[in-house]
Amino acid sequence: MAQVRTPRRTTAKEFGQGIARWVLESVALIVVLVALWQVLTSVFHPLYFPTPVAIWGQIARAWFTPLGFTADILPSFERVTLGWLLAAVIGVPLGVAVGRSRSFAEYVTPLVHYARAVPPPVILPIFMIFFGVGNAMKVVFIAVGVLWPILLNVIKGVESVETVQLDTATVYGIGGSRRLLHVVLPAAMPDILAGLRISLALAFVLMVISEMIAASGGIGYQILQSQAQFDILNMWAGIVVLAVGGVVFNAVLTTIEGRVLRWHRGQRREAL
Amino acid sequence: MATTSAGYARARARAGFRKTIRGVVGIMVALAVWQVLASIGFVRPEWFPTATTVLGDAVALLGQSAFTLQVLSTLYDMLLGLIISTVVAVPLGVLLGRFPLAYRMSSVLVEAMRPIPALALTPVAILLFGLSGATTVSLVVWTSTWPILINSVYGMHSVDPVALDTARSFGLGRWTALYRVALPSAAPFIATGIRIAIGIALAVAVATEMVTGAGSGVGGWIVQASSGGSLIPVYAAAVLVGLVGYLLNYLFERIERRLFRWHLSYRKEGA
Amino acid sequence: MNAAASKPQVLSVQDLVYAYRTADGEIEAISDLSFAVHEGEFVSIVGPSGSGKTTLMKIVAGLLQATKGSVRILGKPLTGRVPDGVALVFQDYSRSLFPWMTVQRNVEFPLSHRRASRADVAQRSRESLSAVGLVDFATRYPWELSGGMQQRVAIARALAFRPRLLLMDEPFASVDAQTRADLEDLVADVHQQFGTTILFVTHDIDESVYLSDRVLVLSAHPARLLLDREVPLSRPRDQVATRELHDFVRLRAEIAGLILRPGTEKTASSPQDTSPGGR
Ligand SMILES: Nc1ncnc2c1ncn2[C@@H]1O[C@H](COP(=O)(O)OP(=O)(O)O)[C@@H](O)[C@H]1O
Ligand SMILES: [Mg+2]
Repeated sequence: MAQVRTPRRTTAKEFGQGIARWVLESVALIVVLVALWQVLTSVFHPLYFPTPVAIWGQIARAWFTPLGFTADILPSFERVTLGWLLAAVIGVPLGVAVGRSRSFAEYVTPLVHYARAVPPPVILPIFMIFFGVGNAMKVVFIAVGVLWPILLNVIKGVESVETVQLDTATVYGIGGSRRLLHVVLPAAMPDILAGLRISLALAFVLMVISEMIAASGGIGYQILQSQAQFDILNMWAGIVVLAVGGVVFNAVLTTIEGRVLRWHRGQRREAL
Repeated sequence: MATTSAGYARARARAGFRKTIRGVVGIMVALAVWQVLASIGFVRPEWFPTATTVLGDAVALLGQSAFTLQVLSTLYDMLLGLIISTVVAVPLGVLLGRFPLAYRMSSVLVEAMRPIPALALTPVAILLFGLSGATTVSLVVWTSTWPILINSVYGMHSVDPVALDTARSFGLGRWTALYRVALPSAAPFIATGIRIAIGIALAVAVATEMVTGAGSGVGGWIVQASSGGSLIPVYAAAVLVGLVGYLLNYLFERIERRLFRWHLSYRKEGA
Repeated sequence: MNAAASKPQVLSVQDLVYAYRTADGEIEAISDLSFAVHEGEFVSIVGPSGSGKTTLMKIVAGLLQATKGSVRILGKPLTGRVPDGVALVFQDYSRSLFPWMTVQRNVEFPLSHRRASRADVAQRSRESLSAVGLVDFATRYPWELSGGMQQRVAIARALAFRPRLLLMDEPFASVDAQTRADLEDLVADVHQQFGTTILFVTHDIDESVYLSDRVLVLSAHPARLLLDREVPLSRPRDQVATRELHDFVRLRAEIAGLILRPGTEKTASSPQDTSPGGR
């Protein structure tokens, strides 16, 4: 009889041990590094590097306050989220439409490659003239900047759908929206999500630059202001808040990706 | 068989030619639309100039050393940053890919550091390196290191263990096998990491220059040029810098494709 | 002479020509092919690699359009649309299954948009999964299964569709010998049990004789019909005993002679003999 490669189910005990080992191995390294930082900075008092404890104190005091949230933290993450979502909402359907037609893709792809190659910061002044220095400018700027990598990845994903899979759908009479929804989109999903992940990193960069160049609030603004005023502690507090935000956003996206692409990773593991 | 390989090659060449033509047509159409929209004049021309104005200005800019030297300066900083991060991240990635314990210990740390936006570290870099090119280089290094590192690890993980065993059975030492077998088969993944890094490094370099505001690099030039009230130089610079980025990417992809033709799945990548 | 010949024609191919259009002009893959398949028949098409077998299957399935000639399914000519009631099992099983769907979803996917009730769909998928012995694997993903099992999923999907005509394009070309024998018997069982009309493409002469009621032999590229011959073997057949029978050995030798030494075709079994026009 044909044999099947069954992934062994892990028992609760094994699961617990796995977690314990993971904590020991990986979190331990971070804890050690932070502790090391604490020891070194409290012994040597370097000018530009406050202790982690002091930074945490500053975050609690100045950032995790109602004003800190509404004036700086929320606006920044709102800009990233809205800009990135706007680009995704436009980019994914557009990319699917382009990718579905070989000739259309051939007309459009070099143009998109070119648009992607223009570093968004270069055109920031244009957005400032058209949209002012408010929230809308930043959202639109982020959206336009990350639209191109999203588009390129969606087009690539849709173009690389296996012909046999499309033929299979055709033979069984599956066309139109069912074909798009159940065959083309899932097949392109690994590339689509990779594009969304790459562009999330870019969205953060664009959020910070737009806040540093033209804003009166937001994490990027605070960080640069603090540096200019030599408030090193507050500068680091801002950096840590921003870093934690980046980690959280990335973790959320990675989790969603892991869920949606469970089949993809399993399949790839089998293929290797 | 009816179709010779020369025939297939000819057919491929023809398809490639058609693709190029269509790409050029696409860009032409976009330029024409731009030209028409700008000519209608519902926006002030110094805010939304016509395509011909911008292209003319771009050509003029090419002749100005004040601009081209800044472009070269940005490119230099960016490439230096890319080289440094490659030199650091590839060996590190290879080691992490070879030693599971080291990988497991560091993966959470890497996952925590990677999403920190380079620009957030600008003030730190300014404090450490001042308003100089070194600041730009250091932030490019920060940005580029992560994709290269992660793809190197990924490439090492996808090295066929059979190939390694074969090499060992031929009497190759542990390190020789790593260098002669594992590294070449991980190379396409490493190249993918570098390509992703290139994509974002130029943006980070320009952004840093705009923030440090020292008037150096493309970023500094943009800040000064846009203070005049007319956006035409900004458009022209965008066109030229975009061209540079496009060529950079194109060149790298060509090299990648040439070097790794043997690699079946070079389109599958982790980022 | 042919018991099936009195049954209605499920497929009739008449004067079929197909040429691929490429940048370098036309490549003729099929030149002037005529044959018919009757209800309940198991017909094999055997021919060397690159002779045009896949091209023929794609035309019958409606994926390609004939350059010349006509193809009728249940009497209705193919008109650019995909014909109803035809299922195709691809050689490339690992790619024809959707890796993001479980085995069961894969089997049910072609059914769920036809106006069938949920219960009916579930019933049909269960029935066909059990016919291929995979009920226990319904909730697995295709990539968790071995190659032979994946091909069984593809077969189950085709069966659940309840096609009037089941096309199989070299379905067992890339599985190991033991699995291949198992799958051959599985398909033979399915043919007996459901009475499905099957057109089966292979480059393996043994397989074509072992499985079918009738064998069509194609020439090397571009495809022409070299032989159309009844298989004089009773059912059920046996992997060992049947292959030792005199009739089996003789027919195999005759086909091998045609394919391996072209130009020796016999007039006694000329294609016109059983061509649809000749009836
Ligand atoms: N898409 C195509 N374009 C041009 N020629 C093709 C194409 N597909 C197949 N051919 C040619 O048609 C002939 C028959 O191919 P095919 O039907 O796949 O053969 P088989 O399935 O019998 O191996 C071959 O010579 C092949 O080179
Ligand atoms: Mg074939």
